[in-house]
Amino acid sequence: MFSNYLKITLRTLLKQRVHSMINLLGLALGLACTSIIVLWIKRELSMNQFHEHKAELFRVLEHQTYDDAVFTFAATPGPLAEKLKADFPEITHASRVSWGERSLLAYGRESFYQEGRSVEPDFLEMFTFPLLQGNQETALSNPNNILITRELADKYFGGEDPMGKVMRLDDEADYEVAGVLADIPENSTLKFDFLLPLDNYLKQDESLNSWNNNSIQCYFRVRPGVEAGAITEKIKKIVAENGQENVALLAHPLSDWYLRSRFQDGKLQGGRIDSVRLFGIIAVFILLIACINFMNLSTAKSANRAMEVGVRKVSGATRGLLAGQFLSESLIMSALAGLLGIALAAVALPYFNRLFELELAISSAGPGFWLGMGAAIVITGLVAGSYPAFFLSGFQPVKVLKGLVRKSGGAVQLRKALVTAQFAISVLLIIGALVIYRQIQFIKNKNLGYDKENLLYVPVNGALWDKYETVKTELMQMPGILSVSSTNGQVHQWGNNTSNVSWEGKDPEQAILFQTIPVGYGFVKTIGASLKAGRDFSPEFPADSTNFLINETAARLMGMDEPVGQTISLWEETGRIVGLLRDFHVGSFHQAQDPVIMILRPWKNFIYIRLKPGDGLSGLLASMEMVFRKHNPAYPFEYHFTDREYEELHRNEQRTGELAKVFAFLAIFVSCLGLFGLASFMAEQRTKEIGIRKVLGASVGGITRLLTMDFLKLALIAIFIASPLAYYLMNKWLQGFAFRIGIPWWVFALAGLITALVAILTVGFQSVKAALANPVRALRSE
Amino acid sequence: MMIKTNKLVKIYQTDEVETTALNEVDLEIGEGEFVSVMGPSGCGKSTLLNVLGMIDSPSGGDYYFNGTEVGRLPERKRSNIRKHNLGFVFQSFNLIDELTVFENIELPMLYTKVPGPQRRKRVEELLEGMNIMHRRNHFPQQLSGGQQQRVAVARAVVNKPKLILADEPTGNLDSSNGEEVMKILSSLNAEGTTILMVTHSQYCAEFGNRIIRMLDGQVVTENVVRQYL
Repeated sequence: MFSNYLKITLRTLLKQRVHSMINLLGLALGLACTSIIVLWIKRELSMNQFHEHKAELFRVLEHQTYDDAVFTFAATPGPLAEKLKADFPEITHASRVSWGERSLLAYGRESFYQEGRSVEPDFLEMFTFPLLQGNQETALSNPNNILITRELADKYFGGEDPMGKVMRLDDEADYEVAGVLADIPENSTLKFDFLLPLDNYLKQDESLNSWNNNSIQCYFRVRPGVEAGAITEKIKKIVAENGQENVALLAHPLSDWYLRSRFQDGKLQGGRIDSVRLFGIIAVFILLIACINFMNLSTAKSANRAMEVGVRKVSGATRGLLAGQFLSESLIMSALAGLLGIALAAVALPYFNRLFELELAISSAGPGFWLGMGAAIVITGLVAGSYPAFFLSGFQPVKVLKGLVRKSGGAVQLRKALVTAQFAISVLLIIGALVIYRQIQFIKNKNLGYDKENLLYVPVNGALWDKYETVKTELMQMPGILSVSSTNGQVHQWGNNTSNVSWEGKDPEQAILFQTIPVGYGFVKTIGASLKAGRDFSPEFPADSTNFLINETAARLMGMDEPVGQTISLWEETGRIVGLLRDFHVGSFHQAQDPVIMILRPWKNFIYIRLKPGDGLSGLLASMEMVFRKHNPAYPFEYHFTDREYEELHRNEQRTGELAKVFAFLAIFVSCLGLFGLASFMAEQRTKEIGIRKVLGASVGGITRLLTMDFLKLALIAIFIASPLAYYLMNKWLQGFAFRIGIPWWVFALAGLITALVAILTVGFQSVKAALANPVRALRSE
Repeated sequence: MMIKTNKLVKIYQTDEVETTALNEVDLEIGEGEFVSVMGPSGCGKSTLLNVLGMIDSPSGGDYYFNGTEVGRLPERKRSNIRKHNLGFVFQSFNLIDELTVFENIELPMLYTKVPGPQRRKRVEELLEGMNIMHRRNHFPQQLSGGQQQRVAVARAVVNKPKLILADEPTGNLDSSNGEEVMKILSSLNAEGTTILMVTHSQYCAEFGNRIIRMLDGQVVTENVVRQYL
């Protein structure tokens, strides 16, 4: 019996080529999107899952409360890890882990920047980063040991045995290779090229021993079966009890590190899981549009199958058997489309991989992928085939065999409803793509309050610490350089904040988090920020070493109308405000405008250089390199452009925008495929009507209008349905940005116009064809 | 008696118009008979055929098939009786375009779950008998009208039904092809198959052993052409 179905399906496919192509291509595109998204979701869900003790691993997060707001950070006080292990029997291991430092690692003549982390011995027993060589017990016990990954071992030592070799770090200290780690899996959020014992890291920063400073990450492992909620409840107050009263701790389980790590006001708000859901829904939408095409075309073309149904019924087929036959047909179609879709996905994957910097491949997809795709294909087949199966199997043989095909009002109404649904989904995606595009343009072009163009920064390392002034003087002599200054953070992402600020009239209960930016002379000018009142720090005023610059937001929050000249204190040190800065943006557009306090300090992690706009960049960079190499020969010259780094901050939005565009296009394309098929069928159905109208004097234009209007009406209804929904959803998306666009009315109008135009073009082609046909032939065909 | 109806009524209801297609029809057809039904268009011939063929249900009255009342049976049971006992031949052949001659004839056996080798044997037997063996792999569109109707007849008899219902089987054929189809039906009848045929042609009707004339949903006369044995 099944072979009979298969034969019928394949022969129908070949006989009705256009109709089949529309169905096949639509379903294949839908399934191609699905297969890419299934691959991607599988990858997202696999993050960190390779750790043997994954169910027992936690990271400590801090909820810090300021006035009414709660901020969440991964930085914790240094003594926490030891305390956790000592006081809580269910915590078996704990390790402080540094943030990941880029250092110049050298062996002989080979020297490269590599990323390392400083950790404690428990680290290796908590996480599954196995040692290929070396002893796990002792590898991290000597402060001058280093553990390197196999990749690094190959890079530095080639075929040689790395064990016992001495490598030099940052041209300062020597470390002996005491272990070779297996390469870090691609799906690990903890990334590093080498590990160091924490000892030397602790020596660099006294504050790491204090309960009052949050500056290092803390991970721990519990006994099997201990729940996140239970352990959070136990450890919650430790930091508060040791001095920082506004801190509550949270045990963040490993399964949430990657997918659920966005907190707002102390509550989990999601994270990457939102994108996983969003793209999952979009794939379902496109698949749904393709399924609707299948349903519409199958029911519209039902007259062709009616006789077959009649014959089969009089031959003894029951309705159930026939429904089974039509479902098998749609399943066969869906399976064919699945194969085509996977092939399409394989072609599209390199583009997707480039966009997301991933390495997804169908060839290496595991059984999970094939299982997921199998399920998607079966569900698609069942959804697409359900209505046609129900509809076609309901034909009464006594009628269809006489040629009286049921012209069911219900089926026509349903077809209209389905077409409307397709249009609505397309409108929704078009509006989404337009809003995302506009928001990205807004981010790119917004005045940040500083000038990110022609601004570059050089990380300070090695001898540069001491030779900054000499380097600055030499740089300033170059005609292409306007000014040079230093700071300890990057302008596009500041990360130091404190609430330890007081001023006259401050409510003692009030806690506000201020960004503190230590800078060198000329910083305001170098980054292109501007002063609203007062002056910048200057060597002419020796007292400036204890003075402050603040921004407008800070002045407002401190309730100062004329802040210049007033006294405030930061970290218990009192000074005078000498300048009021216009607000400038620190961080990404997701963050609100922060209050900023600038202080004059020689903490120079970065040298900022303002270039003269114009040509000759490569020559200028070469001259700059000469200066840096001359004074800091152990290090390669490294520089970054602020505008590019800033764009990097919003990379995720750009990717979302890119994908939204692709998906919106696909949605409307697949809808059009179906519309084209449906319109050609409608024109065919109305051949007689068109013939009579023409004989009675109707014009080609009139007939085209008649046929097109039907669909246009549906498009209009769809616009009205989709617009409020799109407004709601996009507004929700925009809420994630502290700085965002409004959604103007014309976005809806434009989306509607695009949809209507596409509908007119698609249907119009068929309509004109029908209208131009010879009426005599049309009437004779009856 | 194979078929017996008692005041059989069929009413079609469309919006506000009620049409009585069968008006208290009493009819008996014995096993082995060849009955022709004649009458003007719209007199209810085809409706009678459809109700007796169990592809339509009566609105009133009784219908006994081999002694069992079948008029009020649910579709599933009717379908089951149909596939084992009845064969249909239509004016417009109603062959499935996507299936070959062989597959079209084979189709009813798929629903009666006849095993593959037996199916092949039976289809080949019929192809041989109908003289269309050389056309077995062709599709209906590639055949002449006469050939198509022979395929349709072969399909109708493939499950060896006790009763064949033929609705103007020669209506779309020229006279020589029509003659051929009638001969096939006659020979099937001679082998014991009961035949009920609706036709407009007096010539064809006379192939039967009894002619029933209908008017306005009622049987008006019954002529015995020749006594069946």
